[in-house]
Amino acid sequence: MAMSRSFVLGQHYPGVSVIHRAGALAKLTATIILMVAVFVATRTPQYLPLALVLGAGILLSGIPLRFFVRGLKPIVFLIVLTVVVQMFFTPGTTLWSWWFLRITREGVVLALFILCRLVLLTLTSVLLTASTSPIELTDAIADFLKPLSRVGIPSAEIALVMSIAMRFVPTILEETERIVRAQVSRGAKIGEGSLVARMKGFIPILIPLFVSSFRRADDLAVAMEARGFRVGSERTRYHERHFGSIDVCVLVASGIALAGVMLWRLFL
Amino acid sequence: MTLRLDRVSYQVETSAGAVEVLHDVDLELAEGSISAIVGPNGSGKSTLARLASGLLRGSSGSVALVDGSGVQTSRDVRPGLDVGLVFQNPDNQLVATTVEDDIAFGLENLCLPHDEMVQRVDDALDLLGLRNFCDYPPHRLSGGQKQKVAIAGVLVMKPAFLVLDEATSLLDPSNRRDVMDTVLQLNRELGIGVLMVTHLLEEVMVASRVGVLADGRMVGWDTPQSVFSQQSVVEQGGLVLPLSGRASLLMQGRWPEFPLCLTAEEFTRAACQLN
Ligand SMILES: Nc1ncnc2c1ncn2[C@@H]1O[C@H](COP(=O)(O)OP(=O)(O)OP(=O)(O)O)[C@@H](O)[C@H]1O
Ligand SMILES: [Mg+2]
Repeated sequence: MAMSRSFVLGQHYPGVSVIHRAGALAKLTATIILMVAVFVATRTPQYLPLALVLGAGILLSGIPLRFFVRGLKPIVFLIVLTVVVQMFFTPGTTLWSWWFLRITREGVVLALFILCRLVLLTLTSVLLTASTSPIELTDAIADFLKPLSRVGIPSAEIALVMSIAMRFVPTILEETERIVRAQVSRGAKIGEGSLVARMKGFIPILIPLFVSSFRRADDLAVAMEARGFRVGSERTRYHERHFGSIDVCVLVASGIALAGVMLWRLFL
Repeated sequence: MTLRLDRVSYQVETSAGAVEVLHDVDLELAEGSISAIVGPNGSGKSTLARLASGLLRGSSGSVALVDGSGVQTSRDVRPGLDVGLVFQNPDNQLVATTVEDDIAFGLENLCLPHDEMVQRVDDALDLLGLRNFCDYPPHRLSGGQKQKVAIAGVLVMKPAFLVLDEATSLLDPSNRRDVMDTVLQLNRELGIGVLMVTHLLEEVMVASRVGVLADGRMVGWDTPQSVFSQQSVVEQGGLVLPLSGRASLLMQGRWPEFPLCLTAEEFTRAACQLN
């Protein structure tokens, strides 16, 4: 499962820090507030209060900085691309030019701003997912969506579906590996040859995978029913949510970051 | 509490018309007893297991709990609460991302108060020896451990009966032993009634009653001893006698009074008494 390990975004990094102990709902709300703050800012210096709060969060979480750096990896390409485009194609006062390339002062400023924006967004979400277990996160998302159940959106079911999906991802990955090995041992050529040949190579993997997944789904439905599950009926939660002082701190800190950004934008 | 199936039939509609999967099946599971169901593939064992656990409703007949005074409860059997079902594939019955959460799943459906849930999950973790794995994700468990989690998940709902539909058939021998020991322990300590659908002789032998299904009909319902001594039932049910049983039949060719022995110990004892 090298595939899932190299992808830090969305990965849980277990720990016992204050950030880990804070409630998932508070962290999710704080994350959304911080993201709003990211988009409210209009110039790079305005990010200072936000960066301070986020930096404090990262330090308090006790999660190694390496982990966050790895979290940035998947978006390196995106960052480089936007920075280059902004730098070279923003009109303004020329700083440096060669042949048809021209870097403008405005371009550099804008590129820096977008760089900060992307990095802050990523770090915020990495901090959330790294410090919160998936199950807590799905519960928090369900809580967050709860008001929507009044207008007919099945928030509890959405959360359940998400957690079942998380439960089965590793199982299905293992199964895929098993099928690939079985097909290769029978002489199937997978991942070789032209694009068309490669796509064809996937068919003997996908078909058994689909068949077994449908059987799984069928079994699972019976198993859930056998344990008293009824779609749409009331359920309680094993994981109790309590709103503690840590949660208040988390929310206040994110509120300060947002307020800081807004005040800076208005008055400085 | 006794679980009683009274002349239960079950029909399914197929493109070729209605097919009767089960026909007039009677079954009586006494409180705290161990019973087994055997039969060839497609004889309707899983259908019977689902009917007995209240997941399917028969097209005729009744499935009900009968209390000590012989009064039949009027309500349907409630899945999980009255009868817990565990089936074959350990990978397909765990719902949650950790062992602990999975065990709690049924309790969440019951809308139990939080303290009670924690208490019951705690007890189940200890009882089944899963304490050290409580925060493991299911895919990091062995097949036997997964089946134990599945058992724990129905056990916390405190059913009077546990139905195991070939629950050990995908496990290796040591895991199978382990799961069976657990089931027997639950039967002993909690007095939970057990119905095992199985094709393993060693599992049949621990049952006090064995039902033989053939083509949707219950062709035998008796102690393992007498089921195996009825030639026609053995044939209809596609049963294979244990080695000592087959040897006993050979012995009966010479000594007609030789008993049918189902274990090696019995056989040795009987053979020693020959003179
Ligand atoms: N919903 C259904 N639709 C069509 N046929 C069904 C349905 N349910 C059961 N059957 C048929 O009923 C018969 C008995 O099925 P069942 O799964 O109960 O058998 P089984 O004894 O458990 O078999 P196995 O040993 O393979 O597990 C089979 O022939 C099956 O095809
Ligand atoms: Mg079956």
